[in-house]
Amino acid sequence: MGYYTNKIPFISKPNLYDIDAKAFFTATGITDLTIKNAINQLVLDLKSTSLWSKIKVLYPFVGGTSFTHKFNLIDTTQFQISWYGGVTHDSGGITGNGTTGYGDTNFNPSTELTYNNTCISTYIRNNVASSGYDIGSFNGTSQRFIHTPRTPTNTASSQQYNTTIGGGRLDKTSITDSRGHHILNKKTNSHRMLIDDSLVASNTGNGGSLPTYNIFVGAISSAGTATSYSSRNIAFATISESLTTTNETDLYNAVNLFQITLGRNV
Amino acid sequence: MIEVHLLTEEQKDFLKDIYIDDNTKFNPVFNNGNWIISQEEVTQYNGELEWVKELPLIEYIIEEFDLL
Repeated sequence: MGYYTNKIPFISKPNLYDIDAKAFFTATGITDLTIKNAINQLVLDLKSTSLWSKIKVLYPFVGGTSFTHKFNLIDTTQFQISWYGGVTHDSGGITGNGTTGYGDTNFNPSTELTYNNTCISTYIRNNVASSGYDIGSFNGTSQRFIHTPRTPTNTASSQQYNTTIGGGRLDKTSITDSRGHHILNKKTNSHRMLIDDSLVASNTGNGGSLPTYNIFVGAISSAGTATSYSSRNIAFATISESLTTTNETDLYNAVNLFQITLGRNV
Repeated sequence: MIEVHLLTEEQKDFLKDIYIDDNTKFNPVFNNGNWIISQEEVTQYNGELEWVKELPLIEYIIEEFDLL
């Protein structure tokens, strides 16, 4: 014998988005489905490859405004970027003007990272040879955490954490294109530079120490003052612990798919 | 040639605390003996300071170097 009830059966909706992706959408106010799906897939990819827990800050630069571009996907309440000067914000990400524009991540490498356990990655969409650095900070010659993908004489340089080549600095000469996904990965006795998942330079030297000033994007911090303004179009940036070689490939694959989904891959 | 807007010392001190939009502050920079802001900052500024839109233009002197 059956019975009647006035309870409405509960039909659960499938969880469309990861909880951290949802937090990002709430913070930024982004409603565009292409962007939401790209962010969600990025989060899922980073979590399934164990990269998520290694990344301290991740700026996806989506939404096209100074507001949406300030948020850190890993934790939207921390390390929001403070923007200064002439930065163009659009669907391609952020582009400094090479004279006054930059962002302060409010991320201090000396307190948030550990020595010989660091990695920078950026995704650059234009080919510019200039004196501008895209990300980093330094206190002098031996407290550095900076990267440029292409100087006026066609050198890419990762300085973690010194100006001495092979002793905390890794250079690659004959660079003809600043575009692509750049990974600068530093651990004890290993400094690796990858462009689009290809190892272009490496050395085994150590030296220097982590700087004590916040990391800037679109320029670098020289003891708290912006310098070396970049005019490159930055469409993604991370600062993380050092990565395994498998991590490096996984990060490239996740970022590449992310940019393809957004239609801004180079 | 890059052109930028010339500031007086007083204008520089005033603008460094002013927002261009809700999330971006002006960034007066010292270049070749002058305080300047970029044309992008003036274009993006949506505030009420009319004099910002009337600042004179001068040439920006690029300081090229290879590596720091």
